[in-house]
Amino acid sequence: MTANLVQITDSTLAGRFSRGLALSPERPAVRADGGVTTFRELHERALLLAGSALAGLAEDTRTLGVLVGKGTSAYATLLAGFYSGLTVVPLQPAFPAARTRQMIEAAGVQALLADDDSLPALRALADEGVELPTLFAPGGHPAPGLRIDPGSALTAPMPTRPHDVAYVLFTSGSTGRPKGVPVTHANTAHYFALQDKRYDFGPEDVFSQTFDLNFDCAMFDLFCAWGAGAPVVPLPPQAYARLPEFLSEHGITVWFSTPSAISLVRKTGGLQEGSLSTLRWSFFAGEALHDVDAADWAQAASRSTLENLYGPTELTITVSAYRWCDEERRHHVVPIGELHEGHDLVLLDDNGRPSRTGEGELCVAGPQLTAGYLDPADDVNRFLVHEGKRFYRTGDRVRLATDGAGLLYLGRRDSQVQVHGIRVELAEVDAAVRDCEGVDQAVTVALEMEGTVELAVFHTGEPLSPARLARHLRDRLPSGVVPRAYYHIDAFPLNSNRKIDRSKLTSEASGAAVRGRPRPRGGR
Amino acid sequence: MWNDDFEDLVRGFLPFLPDTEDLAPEADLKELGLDSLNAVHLLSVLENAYRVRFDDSALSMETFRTAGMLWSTVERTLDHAAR
Repeated sequence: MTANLVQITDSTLAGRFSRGLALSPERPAVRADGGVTTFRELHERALLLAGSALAGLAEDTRTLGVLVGKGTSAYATLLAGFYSGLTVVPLQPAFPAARTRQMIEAAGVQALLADDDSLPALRALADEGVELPTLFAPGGHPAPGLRIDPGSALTAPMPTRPHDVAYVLFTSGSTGRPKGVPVTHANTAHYFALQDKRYDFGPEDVFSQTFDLNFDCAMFDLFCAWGAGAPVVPLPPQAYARLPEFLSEHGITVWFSTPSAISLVRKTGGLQEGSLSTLRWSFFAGEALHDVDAADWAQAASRSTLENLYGPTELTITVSAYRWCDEERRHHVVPIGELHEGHDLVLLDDNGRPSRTGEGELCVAGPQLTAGYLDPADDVNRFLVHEGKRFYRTGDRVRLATDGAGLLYLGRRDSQVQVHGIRVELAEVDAAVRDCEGVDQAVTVALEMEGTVELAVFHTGEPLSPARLARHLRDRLPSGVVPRAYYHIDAFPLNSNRKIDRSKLTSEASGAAVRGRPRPRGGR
Repeated sequence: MWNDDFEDLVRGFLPFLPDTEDLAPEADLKELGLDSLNAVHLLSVLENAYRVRFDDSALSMETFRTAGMLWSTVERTLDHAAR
């Protein structure tokens, strides 16, 4: 091996890009909007943006917010964040500005890097009172703007230490306040070293990029692709309407999305036998993956290996994997499989003691585990020390399969749900609904529909139109988790313990959802 | 103005539009509950119903802003196909 290879032992995210740059300097790192951007071009763009930002910022700056959507400008800006050597906080321009401001404050963000499409979001943040030095990638953003200065471009990514925080992402909190999860370079290094061992990605691969960049599965898309010298292709929404064509046009070989994409592609007629035949690998994460969906996808992506991946943000992207075999449909839901190498698990029973039944709340210890939430108050009851090791309590109930399939996902032990891959506490939605003028009490329930989860809200107080309630919630919640059904009731049904009978509400909402579709016009 | 079939198809994607209320051409479809993933599904339903194929320029989310804009895209595509 040549001396050149010494460089590739840099196991940070920036280092993974450098590895791809060495493998494929003049090949595409991104294919988007009908154009390509090579590894060298993206690298130079990121060096310029990172250097310009650092030149304009106080020396004690430690945390950068990266406000980006998807596409070439977004990727260059995110990469610049990592090149700066500072902690990156990915922020979503489509999120309500008030929510983004909470994250900015909680993470102590001192400056923003923003991509080409984020100008409306920057204006909305300014209206929310956010005044941070901002580097707007196309240049020309009103003060306090940072200047793009070719003279300040970095010559190489800034060095980092393994215990430095690479990025901070947020998850839903039951109080309505998002919880910040710091993830270190050591955490991501362990994760990606395992991916390199498990998969055979190379420069000939082409990766789908379906996840928003404030969702950690996007790190898999970008840094598995770039580490292999392969390009990513962001998916515009309309691509799902013609997925077979889109995949073959771009020669996509690696697919990764939430399972809800499967039912959408089925509805648009894209899941015919062999219709997704460019794929070598298919990955799903973010929600429970049902047997029928996995089987249908596997039949369409007939040349790919399909895996179900599992992991909360607190355990760095994903921490378990199960390789699907079509012959076996034994569990209704596809198992989440074996924990990544180097991790230990404990299952807790309902009393919080280690379970003897092979079923309980999944707790995980190991090198992918976060050191704790940004706000230590959020750590209460989420971590435990067992036999000298620190475990994260996932809140997920699992069972150890007796047939060697690893872990089976059973559900949550609290009222958190995953909607289109976004974790949300039902209590957070309740609180946001109660906030609406005219609403007295509110209860949100989760419905399982066609392999995906949708939320429905019951409320007391004044009858309000669903459109009005949805508009109110869009200002407070990520749009993916805004409930699709709203019911006004005079009083909540109570169970025998005089508590609100959630299961009765859930079955009423499910019944209404089934009756409600399709809705022929003559049926009014 | 659009035909009843079109309205029936679109209404099925608008959970916040009460059955008793008319669908106005200028009504904002997002306000009535059409999100981007459902818009993708609606697109494919319309293509199948009218046996047309929207060209890529018609595929922007702007097309799905109001029922009127969506209908004019369908009409334009039908005209084009008839020529």
